[in-house]
Formats: sequence, structure tokens, C-alpha cells
Amino acid sequence: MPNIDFVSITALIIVTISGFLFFYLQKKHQLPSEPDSYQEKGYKILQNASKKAQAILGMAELDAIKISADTRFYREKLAERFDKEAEIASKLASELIKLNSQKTVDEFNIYMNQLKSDLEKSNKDFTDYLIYLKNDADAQKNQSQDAVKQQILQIFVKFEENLSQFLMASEQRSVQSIELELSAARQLIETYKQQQLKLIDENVIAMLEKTLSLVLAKKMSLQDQVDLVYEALEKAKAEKFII
Amino acid sequence: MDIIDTILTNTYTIQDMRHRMRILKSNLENTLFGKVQTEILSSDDTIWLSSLTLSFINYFTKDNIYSSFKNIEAELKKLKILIIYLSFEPEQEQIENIGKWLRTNLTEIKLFDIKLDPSLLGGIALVKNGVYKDYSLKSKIQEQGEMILVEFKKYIR
Repeated sequence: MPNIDFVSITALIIVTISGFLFFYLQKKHQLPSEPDSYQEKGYKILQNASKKAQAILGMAELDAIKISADTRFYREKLAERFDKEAEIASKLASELIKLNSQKTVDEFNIYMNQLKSDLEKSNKDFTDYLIYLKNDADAQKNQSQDAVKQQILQIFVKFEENLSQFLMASEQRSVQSIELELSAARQLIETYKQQQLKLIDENVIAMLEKTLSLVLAKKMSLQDQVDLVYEALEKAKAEKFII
Repeated sequence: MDIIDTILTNTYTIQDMRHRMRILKSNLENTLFGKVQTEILSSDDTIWLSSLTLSFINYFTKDNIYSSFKNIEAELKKLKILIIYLSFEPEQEQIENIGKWLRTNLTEIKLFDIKLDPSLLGGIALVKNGVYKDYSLKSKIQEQGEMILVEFKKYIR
């Protein structure tokens, strides 16, 4: 593909745009009194501009053709040169690659060996570290277990002491309260007994009177009753209540 | 003539006295004023009326009957009445015997009143001039109450 002259195309575009601008401005600032002269001028200018533009285009085309021919020529030459160079470069590159690759492989092998030895060393170190960690963890675990056992033992001992103290205190309190209750109950019983005896004392005479009133009415004869009457009258006379 | 003494000859209680006074008055009114006897008298009342002497009956006239009875009432009020509380209801015979004993042994008591009080158990209680004196079995039990309690308590364990 021929190289297009961008300069020529750009110039063509500029000319076209200036022409349009000219026509626009002319139309815009067109005076009402002399429209024909300006228009003619404008047409002339435009005509000139288009001629020039066509000339420029023609020249641009010629240049473009020339350039495209040159380009083709140079491209072909360049291509030939490129092929040659490429072939040389490829030869060189292959030789270089061969050399480099061998070197690289050697270096790679050395590096790999080094890496392997490093890895083994690191692995060994890591394994040793893990073993160390394990031993340390075991020791810590044993220590923790012992500490926990000790604490638990202490807690149990303290718990037993507190429990025994609490039980003793509770027992004492219970005994005291029971004794208080017992004494209160005894007091209550005694009070009740005294009250009942007092009631009996108060009522035994009344009970006796009631009993006698029920019994004597049936058991005492009329003569006995009359005898009691005379006995009472004699007593009243003796006391001089009746004279 | 002592009307009251005549009436009191065999009248011992105040109730009998008032009863006999009433029937006597009624009988005298019938006799003196020719009223018809409407009340049916008991045999005891009839016997008592019959026992009154003629002179006693003739003492009462139309003019003095009411004044006489008024005087008798006034005299009765002056008499000292002994109230006797008994624990049993006496028969008429016992009442008369008590009355005779009172008339024999006492001077100031002419009439008495019988009241019933079974709570006395036995014996009597007397009221004279508003003073009450208990001579019953009940009072004896109460007087001996402490001793009785002591005896009872011997059985309480």
C-alpha cells in the first residue's frame, strides 16, 4: 500500500474548510445594497480556490503515486535486506542460544543442586525445629497438667474444709434452734397445763354442783329435803338471822 | 277482833293470805250485796271459809267491808315477810309444817313466801328485809371448795 501524503490531504482539507468559511461569512455579513458584486467575487474566489485545490490534489496524487512507487521499491529492498539480516540474526541467535542454553543449563543444574541442598538443609532445620517445638509443647503440656492437678487438689482440700466447717455450723444452728423450739414447746405445754388446771379449778365446783343437781334431784327423798330445810332453819335461828 | 290473826290462824304463806283474802271478800260481797257466786271454790277454800266463825263473818257489814279490807291490806304490808328459797316444790303439808315451825320458833315472822331455786341442791336460802342468806348445800360446797379441790388434785397425776 502506497504511503499517502498526509501533508497534501491536510492542505486539501484546510482549503475546503476555508472555502466553506468564506461562503458562510459572506452570507452572514452580506450587505443588502451590493449583493451581486460580492457574490461574483466570492464565486471567483471559490473558483480560484477550487482550481488551486485541484492543482494541489493533482500534485498530491502525483506525489502519492511517486511515493507509493518509492515505497514499493524500498519495501522490496527492505524486505530482501530484512530476510538476509533475519537469516543472519537467526543463525547468530541460534548459536547464541545454543551457547546460552548450555550455559543456562549448567547454571541451572548448579542452581538446582544448590537449591536442592538448600532445601534439604531447610527441611532438616524445619524438622529439627518441629521436633523442638513438639518437645517444648510436651513439656509445657506436662507442666500445665501438673499445675492444674495441683490447683484442683488445693481446691478440693479447701472445699472439704469449708464444707466441714459449714456442716458443723449448720449442725450447731440446727441443734440450737431445735433446743429453742423444744423449750418453747415445753413452756407452751406447761402454760397449757396450768391454764387447764386453772380452768379445772374454776369449773370443778361448778361441775360438782351440776352433778349433784342432776343426781340429788333423783336420789334425795322428799323427807331428806325437808330435813335439810329444817336444818337450815335451825342454823339461821342459831345465827339469829331469823328470830 | 283481830281480823288478821283470825285469817292467819292457818294461813302461812303470803300467796295463801292473798288468795284467802280475795275469796273472803268475794264471799262477803255475795252475802252482803246479794251477788251471784261465779267463782268455783276448791275444797280447801270451802273448808277454810266454813271454819270461819259467825262472829268473824258478822263483823263485816256493807258499810265497813271495803274499809276493813283496806286496813287489812295496810296491816299486811307492815308484816315482815320471810322469803324462803327451796330446791324442790313442797306440798301443802310441807308448807304448813314449815309455817308451824316458824310460828313456833320465831316471833317476828308470821308469813313467808316460797320460791323455787333448784340450783340450791338442798336446804334453803332466806331473804329477810332485803338481806339474802344462803343455807343451802350449794353454799356449803362453795365454802368447802378449796378442800374439795385439794381432794380432787390428789387424783391428778
